[in-house]
Amino acid sequence: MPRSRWLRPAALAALACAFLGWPWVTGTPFILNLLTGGVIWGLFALSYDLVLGWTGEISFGHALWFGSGVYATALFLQATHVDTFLGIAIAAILLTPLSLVAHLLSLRLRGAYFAMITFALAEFAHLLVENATSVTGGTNGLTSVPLSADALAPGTLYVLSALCLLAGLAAVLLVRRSRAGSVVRAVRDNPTRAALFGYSEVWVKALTLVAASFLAAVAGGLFLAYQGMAFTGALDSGTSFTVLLMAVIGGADSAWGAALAGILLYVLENSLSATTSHWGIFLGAVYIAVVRFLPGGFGALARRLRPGRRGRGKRQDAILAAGQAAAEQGGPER
Amino acid sequence: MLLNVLLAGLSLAAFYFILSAGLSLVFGIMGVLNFASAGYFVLGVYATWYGLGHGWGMLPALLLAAAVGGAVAWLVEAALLRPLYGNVGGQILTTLGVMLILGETVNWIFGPQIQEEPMQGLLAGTVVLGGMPFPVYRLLLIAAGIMIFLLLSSVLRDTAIGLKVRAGVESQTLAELAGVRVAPLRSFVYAAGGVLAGLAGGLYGPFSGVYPTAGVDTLLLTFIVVVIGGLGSVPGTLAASLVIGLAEALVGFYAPNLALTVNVLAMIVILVLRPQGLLGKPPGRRDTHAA
Repeated sequence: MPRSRWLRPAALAALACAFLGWPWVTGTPFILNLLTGGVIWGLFALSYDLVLGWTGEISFGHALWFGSGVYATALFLQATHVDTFLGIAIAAILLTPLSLVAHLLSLRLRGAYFAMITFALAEFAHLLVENATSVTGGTNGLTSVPLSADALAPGTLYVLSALCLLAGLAAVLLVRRSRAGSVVRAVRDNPTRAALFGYSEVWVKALTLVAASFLAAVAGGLFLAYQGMAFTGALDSGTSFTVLLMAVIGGADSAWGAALAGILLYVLENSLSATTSHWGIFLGAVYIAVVRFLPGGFGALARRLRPGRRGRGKRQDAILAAGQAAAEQGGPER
Repeated sequence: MLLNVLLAGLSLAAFYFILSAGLSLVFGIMGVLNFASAGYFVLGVYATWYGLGHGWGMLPALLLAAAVGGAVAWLVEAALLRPLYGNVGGQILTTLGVMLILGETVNWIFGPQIQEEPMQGLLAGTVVLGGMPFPVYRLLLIAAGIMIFLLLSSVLRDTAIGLKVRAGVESQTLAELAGVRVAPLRSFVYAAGGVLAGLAGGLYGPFSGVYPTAGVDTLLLTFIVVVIGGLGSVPGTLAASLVIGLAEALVGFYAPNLALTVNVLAMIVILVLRPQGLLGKPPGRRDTHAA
């Protein structure tokens, strides 16, 4: 298929513009509102793709960073009364040292143990926020958050959330193609061999997780502006499970797949669950089926449907597997 | 006074032991963090409620809970987990889906409201101990916990299948080399885990109420107990249940809001400093990696 050099970027730019302008074409306020929530959850799901797809670890506590974004932004805005979007950015940046410490702690463990400590840390934060009533409002949440006028205009919030999602997606895809992206994949697929090249498994994974937490915190801050209030639900295990389901259905190692699944599932849930209570059952069933039959989710589906790519992907997998097997046996590679 | 608090702690400990022993054994033999256990638990809660509501005695109602939990767990293992053998990450993700589906199904059929367990006769009453009334039901919990512990340890110690399970927990590869067929063993342990979770669910309703999110609400406590006890160790699970049950009763007596927070903190500290748990073996040789 012949393609000129500018076609691809132009198509992407057109797609991005369509994405930003879409609600105004189809738009009722209801749809705009729904899509804003969807885009924010798309960003959150994208951040989980970095956890599951990039480090290969399963976190059952990713709501910790979403919820921290919600509460840090709310408290920061209450203290300083700066512009909401500036507050979101600053809160997310201020959270990064904390997330680095937490991830270095969690990464003393792997596998099921990592899953459990992430779950425990998130539940611990949830309990703290519920009990520190004087600061966080406890289970009543924080209702008096001073949001600036631009954040209250629904159109602005949509465009800004969509821009954050696009920027996050672009950053993730660019890094993925870069040297740093290969290092992260090498560490995920074969930590021993990567360590022989001088890459520390703990640090590579910790920095990846810090990036994931940053994106989740931005999503949390945007969600605060969207809801107008902070509430403990943003930190509870249900939020962690939902984002995990979204990212798995979208594709364990597909950034755009996770983002798309986040948008789609949020919009479906919030437009369907008013009429049916079976949504959770349906979602769970789709998720189990994806884990079993389509481990790559949307991403793998697209790869399978694209002609000419299939063979190459398989061969690469085989080479990777052979290299891994050789490394594990400790024998010569060639 | 103190006697009552201690007894309350012991009854919690007994409940936590039944709740967590299955999860611990399943992890020991499959390496799977079994979220679905919380689903079998909810099924047990509602099975017992259904039985009692239809005029059954407590014992048949509990047996129904255990049977439902075990049967559904056996089906889930056969249909969903066995095909993912070798992919521990996929299995863990699948058990999370099973938990969510079972919880939602119960919510759909019976509604989200909290229902009262229809307790009757002696079990609904109290006895006076140390000058204070104490619920008879909590004494039953203690007795049930002791019985399940004795049953589990004698099965693990004295029977052929118990020996195989212990061998499988220690090392799957060596057990297989010694001629143990591990696949049916996994099904058996997984179904037994479902039986214990269902039974724990049946015991939960009378003191905490019957509602669909009961499973997710107890999930955290289960994890705390198995982590502190050491995954795969029944005596460790018992020790951890005692620590957590008594700590909860004592801390909860003075500062109700702090009890759970203190326990979660203990779980985090243990995970970071001693991931094999208080009585568990070092995880060095077992593959703790998810896929």
